[in-house]
Amino acid sequence: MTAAVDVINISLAYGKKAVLQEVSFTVNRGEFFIIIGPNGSGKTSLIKSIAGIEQPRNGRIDILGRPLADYGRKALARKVALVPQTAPVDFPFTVSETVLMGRAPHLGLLGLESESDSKLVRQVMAFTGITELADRRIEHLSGGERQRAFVARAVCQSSEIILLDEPTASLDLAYQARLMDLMEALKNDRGATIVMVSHDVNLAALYADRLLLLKDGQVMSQGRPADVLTYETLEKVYGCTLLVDKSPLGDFPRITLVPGKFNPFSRSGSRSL
Amino acid sequence: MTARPHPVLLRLAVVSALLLLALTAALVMGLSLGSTQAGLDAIIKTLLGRSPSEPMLQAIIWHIRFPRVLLAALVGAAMSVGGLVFQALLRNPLAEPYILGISGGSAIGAIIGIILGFSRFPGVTVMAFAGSMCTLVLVMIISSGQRILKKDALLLAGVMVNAFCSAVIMFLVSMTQDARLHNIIFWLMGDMSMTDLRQVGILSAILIPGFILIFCLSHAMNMLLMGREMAISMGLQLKTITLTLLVATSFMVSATVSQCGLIGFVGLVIPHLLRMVLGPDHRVLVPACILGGGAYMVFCDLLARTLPQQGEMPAGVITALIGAPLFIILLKRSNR
Amino acid sequence: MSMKLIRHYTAALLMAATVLLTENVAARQVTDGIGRQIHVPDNPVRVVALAPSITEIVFALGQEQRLVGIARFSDFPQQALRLPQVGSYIQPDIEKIVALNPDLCIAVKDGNPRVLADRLESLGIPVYAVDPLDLGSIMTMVLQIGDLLNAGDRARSIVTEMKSRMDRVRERVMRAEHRPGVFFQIGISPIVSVGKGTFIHELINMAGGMNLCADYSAYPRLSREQVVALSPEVLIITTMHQGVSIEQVTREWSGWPQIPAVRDGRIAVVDSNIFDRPTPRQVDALEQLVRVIHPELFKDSP
Repeated sequence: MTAAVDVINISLAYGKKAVLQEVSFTVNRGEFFIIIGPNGSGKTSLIKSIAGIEQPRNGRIDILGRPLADYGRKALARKVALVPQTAPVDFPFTVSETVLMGRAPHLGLLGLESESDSKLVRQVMAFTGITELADRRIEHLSGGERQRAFVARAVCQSSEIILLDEPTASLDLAYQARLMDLMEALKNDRGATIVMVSHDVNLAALYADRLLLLKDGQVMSQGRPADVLTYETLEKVYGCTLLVDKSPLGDFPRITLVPGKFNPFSRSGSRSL
Repeated sequence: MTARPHPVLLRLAVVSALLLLALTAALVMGLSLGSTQAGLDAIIKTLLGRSPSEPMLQAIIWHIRFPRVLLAALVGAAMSVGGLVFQALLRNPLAEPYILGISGGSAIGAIIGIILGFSRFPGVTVMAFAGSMCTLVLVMIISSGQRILKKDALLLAGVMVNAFCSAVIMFLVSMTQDARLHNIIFWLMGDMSMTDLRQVGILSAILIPGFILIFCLSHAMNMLLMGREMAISMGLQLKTITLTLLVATSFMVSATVSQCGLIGFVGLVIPHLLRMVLGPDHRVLVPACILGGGAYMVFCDLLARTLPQQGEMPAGVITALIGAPLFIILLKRSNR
Repeated sequence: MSMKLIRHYTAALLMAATVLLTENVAARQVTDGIGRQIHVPDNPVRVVALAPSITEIVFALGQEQRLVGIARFSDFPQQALRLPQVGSYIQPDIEKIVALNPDLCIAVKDGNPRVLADRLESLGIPVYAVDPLDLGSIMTMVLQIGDLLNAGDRARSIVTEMKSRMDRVRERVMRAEHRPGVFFQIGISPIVSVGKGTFIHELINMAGGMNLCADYSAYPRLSREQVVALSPEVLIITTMHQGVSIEQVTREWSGWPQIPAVRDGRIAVVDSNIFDRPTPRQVDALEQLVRVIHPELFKDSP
């Protein structure tokens, strides 16, 4: 079975600054794949490359077995949908109009939807729990509600591969959990492949089928959470002391940050022992 | 399967019908009223073509007023659509059709044409058009860099170029004496009084395809509001669409300005007014701006030439005097 | 364009043409003041004067009964103010002109917009353009208009009178010993004077003065410093603005006693209407100028 996303040895630079260096990995179909790493590790650039927004200098990305470069813009959009980190706050359209716009790559010039499109939109809005918000304007919603609307839009655009760039970054705890559950439901119920960038290592550990750990644009580790989230690897990548044990919720790694005052071996040694 | 009319198309049809009615009413008023008075029945007879005994009224209405109201409608439509497109492209509510240096460049071109003694048409018109195309290219060159067509760079470059052009214009004006100075000032204030059907025909040949093109891109404009990344990821050919909208709209606005001078304020206010009433969907707004903007301009031009006792006011003064309070009223009402 | 519109358009054109033909069966071909060949009626009875100077001349020729419309600011003679106005001569109101159903319009080349003449002619209204550049061409213009309006005799007598008055001025001026430097100011703020090629420049020369701005062309702008440097012996200012009195002007310049004209009190204010308009009254202007520039020539024979 062909992979959903095949990243083969890509490199990307902004001017002289190397952002991604010879990155290779594979995302299987129906997988919940999470990319983690410290700030500046190139996570956002990587996801934008998969979405076709950035063009890597070397290497190749295959989407569902075909090189990304061979896809027309609209054809690619029908397969890959992106929920970017910053969604516009002052967007004047209503939630249902916004979600409907997700169907654009499937529609003609004026974006006039058919009955089946409307039905899909209603379904997806119910699935993401925003049906009551249908006639409210995006600019009047809270952060969490807005995020769900744009996720719904992405799902309407493509239910094959969904990319999310730090979707939980500014959300309340409750919304964070809801979003991750939603992604898992999409994976299980609709067979979607989820590729997510996250800064929250613990959430990643609880949901990911496989992880990719980046640092300074290079792949440090990839594989199942238990294999990737070891304290040697994490300490090397994040440069701080961490405690890795087993989560009380089940067979998942749990990462605890150990700040200086608890750490007799702390390098930041404000207290000498 | 019941064939139900698509809701957007239905809205489009209703809005267009209403505004078309308004435009027609404005056109009829524009033809019937002017600096010379005539009896109502004489006017009606002339409009319906049953008046062989009033040749002078015929000449006035069809040779003088008719080209003028047509031009006013085209100007209002072009300016409104221009403002709408730039507001979407630059994602800035203060954007208006002159913002990318078009007013500065066309004014300099026109002034040079007037100083050199060219006649209004085609001499000064062509010079004005050439001038605005030059400033447009200048703005695009200045703002190109890492991200070509990045919206803030465009905006800033446009403002700077316009400011520079203002200085040049003031210099040229200060150096001119006698009757040419008058001509320059009238051009700068906007002047639709000396047009004929040939000029109107040329302008509509440029504008009508432009309107159609922009209408076809109206859904893309909706999506543009989501931001660069989302627009690309939704399948928009962002560079192509942005460049097409930019060039087509600038071309249309330049062609319009070179015929009628600098009539301002329409392109800023009408899109906002219509958006407040009709919502943000450009598929409805584009035709609304064409018809509504046209009706508004015809009406303002009518006031401009009938209100003053002697002579006529610049049409741009009327558009500002009416547009600004209207806008403020609607703004307050929408805030509640 | 719908058929209905095309019908209206052609109907209007035919109407205009028919009207012209029926009302003015008697027409002739003439060459107008700028060399164009046009058809004018033998006996124009509905004339529109598109500049105040034209209005003046028509009245001077005694043909004011032919006028149906005049340009704004046609204020001489007083009776002119009773006629309907058709917009200013820079921005004429074409609707008003057409509504008067004229059979002839008389326009001034430098002033009336060319496009106006084109529009009127496309509507079947003949436009006769004149081009007065100096006193000589003013006299030609009077003769041309006189010819147009069947007042040739009156025109010739006006021109003869103009010529003889000019001759008398010339004779008087020949007795002058010295050509004083004259600064002629037509704008108060900014200071604007007259250069070569203008009416006033010609008048100053004829009146025995030396125009200190002769090196400039048209209407140059000067700073006060430059005027001081020119050191005029006579300072003449026109009343372009309402209510500019000689006291006000003298006060303006009194801070500069280095200027000979200020020191000697030789500052004069003249009426701009007769200086700026290309009409027979320019000879009045000339006579006024001589008195200002060479008062000594009038001591014995006023």
